Amino acid sequence: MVGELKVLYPNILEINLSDLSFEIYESENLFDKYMGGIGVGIELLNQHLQTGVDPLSPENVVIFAIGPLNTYFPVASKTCAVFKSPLTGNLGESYAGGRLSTAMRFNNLGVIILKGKSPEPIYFVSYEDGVQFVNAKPLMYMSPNTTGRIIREKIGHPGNRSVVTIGPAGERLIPYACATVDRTRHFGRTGLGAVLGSKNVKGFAIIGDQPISLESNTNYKQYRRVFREIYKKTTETNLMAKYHVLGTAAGILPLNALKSLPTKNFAESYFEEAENISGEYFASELLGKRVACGGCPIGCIHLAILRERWEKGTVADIHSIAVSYDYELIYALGSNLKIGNAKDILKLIEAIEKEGMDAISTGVVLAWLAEAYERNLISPKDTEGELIRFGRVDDFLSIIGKISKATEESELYYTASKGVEALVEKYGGNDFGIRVAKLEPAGYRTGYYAIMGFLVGGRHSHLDNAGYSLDQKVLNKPITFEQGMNSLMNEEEWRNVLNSMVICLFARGVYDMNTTIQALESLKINRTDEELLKIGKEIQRKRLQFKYAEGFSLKEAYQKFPKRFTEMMTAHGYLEKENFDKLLALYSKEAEKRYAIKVD
Amino acid sequence: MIKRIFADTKRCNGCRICELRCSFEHDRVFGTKLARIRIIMNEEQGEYKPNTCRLCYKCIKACPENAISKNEKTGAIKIDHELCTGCGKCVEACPFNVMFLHPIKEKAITCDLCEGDPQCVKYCPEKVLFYTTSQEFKKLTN
Repeated sequence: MVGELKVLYPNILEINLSDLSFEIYESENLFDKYMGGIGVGIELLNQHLQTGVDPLSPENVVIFAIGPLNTYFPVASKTCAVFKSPLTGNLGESYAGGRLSTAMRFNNLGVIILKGKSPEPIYFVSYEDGVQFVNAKPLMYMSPNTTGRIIREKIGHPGNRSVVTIGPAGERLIPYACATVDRTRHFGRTGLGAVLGSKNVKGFAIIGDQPISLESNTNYKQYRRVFREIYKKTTETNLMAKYHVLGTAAGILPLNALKSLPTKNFAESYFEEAENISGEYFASELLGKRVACGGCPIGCIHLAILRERWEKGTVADIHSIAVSYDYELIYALGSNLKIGNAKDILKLIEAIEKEGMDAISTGVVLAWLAEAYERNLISPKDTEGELIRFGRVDDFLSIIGKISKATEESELYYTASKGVEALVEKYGGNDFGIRVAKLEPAGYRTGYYAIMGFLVGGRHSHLDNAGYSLDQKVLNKPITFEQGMNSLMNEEEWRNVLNSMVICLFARGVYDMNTTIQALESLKINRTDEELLKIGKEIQRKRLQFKYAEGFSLKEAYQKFPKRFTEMMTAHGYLEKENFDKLLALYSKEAEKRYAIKVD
Repeated sequence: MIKRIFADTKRCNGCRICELRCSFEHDRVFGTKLARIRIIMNEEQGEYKPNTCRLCYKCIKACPENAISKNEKTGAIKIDHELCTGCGKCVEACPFNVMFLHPIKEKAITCDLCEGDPQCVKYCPEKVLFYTTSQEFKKLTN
């Protein structure tokens, strides 16, 4: 009924997969205290997860959380997932768009907690009044999108649902497997797909179609005004225009010009064929359509149409599929593999999408394999006769499935399915083993802060603190290392606030402090600047506390830095080890001061 | 010439702000079931199609209570909720499936063109929706 859904007091759905039971209960003051998203997520993870458990055991816990601004405001369209990562062994944290946050809001769910392990493969459907568990045995080893289509056909409620699925990689517990949301969006990083696979959850659907009252939940007049202002900022100013027009792929040419586009497994920073894989090229030659997440006016999801000819002699001679592309995918499967053909990149994206793997991690693993092959670190015997060469799309296409399906007998591919860290441990090649704290990085060779950002970030993602952006900002305005590290840490704390709302970080320019406070106020949530900053800092303390309790070692991660980080040209020239040492010391000192925990 | 809402469906990105805005304006709620404009979604193909009243007036004839009439100013469908019994005859008569029963009030609802200032058109970020005449729409989309 209208009026019963409150912003600050949505329900929690807790599912015990071991006996396929569920409980829906009120969140009481949880959202009041911890905002939502990562704030609520990290708090619940600490409450429900015991330290030291195997991330792929039934004891791991997955928390999905939305925040106060979701659905109420434009571009507040993400859902936060928190769990223990099978890839990094510590904080697993990932965000996805699609219609998940809207479906959760209209189902009056603020949080979904998954515990235990189902005895058989299942998917579950959350309706307004409860949860149904469905046998997923017939769906085993199907691609995420076929699985999604079958679930959608079965459950009905078109338009009022969101479907999350995993692919074969998740079922085979590949630690960088992703979870796919509504066909085109992903919980990509840190391996949520494998955790769901380990729990025998092939997917789930949230049906959300209850209306939410704006009159009783908001200061109505103020709400109308703030909504209009945010809507105008997102659609009529240039704050977000680039995400609509070219999408994130707009970054390819500028980063290439800055000598910051990782090329050939990070060995080079300039790709001579960048023009052919640029956002501009994709938009003019291959873009079929832009689509949007629920409640977002931007429409940044760029779908390219990949047309392929059938083999000769068949009746239908051509088929076309829609493939979503982004900057990170173009870097990971394009420049970093020296693939200079946009259609080839789409083929690789599609192949990885079918397996349900994180495209960034997979791309970096492929790049390591190509370099190891080039240097004879791995032999044709290891590769089982396959050639793995930079610039050859067919080479990569033929091994993606091998990695996803590898068993222990197939040593190289099995190791590759565990990530770059595992490859380096087994075969050596640390000098060019591109990963930071076991996570294969996003595509930025901009300078010190990008790399340090990966290292000190809570989940080692480029989106933790946007070091790559800081690198570009300070190109013409040098700052001291101390200012730089402080800036990274401030940014991460502020992003914790935004990730508690849970807005899409593309809209970070729209949701400045003042706008965020006003948006919250219009939903009857009163917070001051200081209070929000305090919340951001507290979340950061908890994220770090979780990591260190799980055995994360900053020193160890730093010592494993590939030599390449100090050999490569960036927008800031060559990077020097001494300076990394300085930056790390500055960080440790400041982090201990800020968060009162031992950082080492 | 009567103006109504037209959609250049190819460009719809499926953000569904039109639905949210519609329920917002009419009921002060966010709820896709309360929207007078609905997006028909083909999630597999990523195809979205806005669907709303075409002003064919079949509902007026179908209503046994004479609760439905034509708004003289805009030509939109006007439903008198005092008279409407929620019998659903108009819902059955609507050839475009854009006459709905309000899930709470249990009365018929459909697009009323917001008294000549349709909010869905105003807030459509892709400018897919137009409030115009059929001739103008043809010109605009050619």
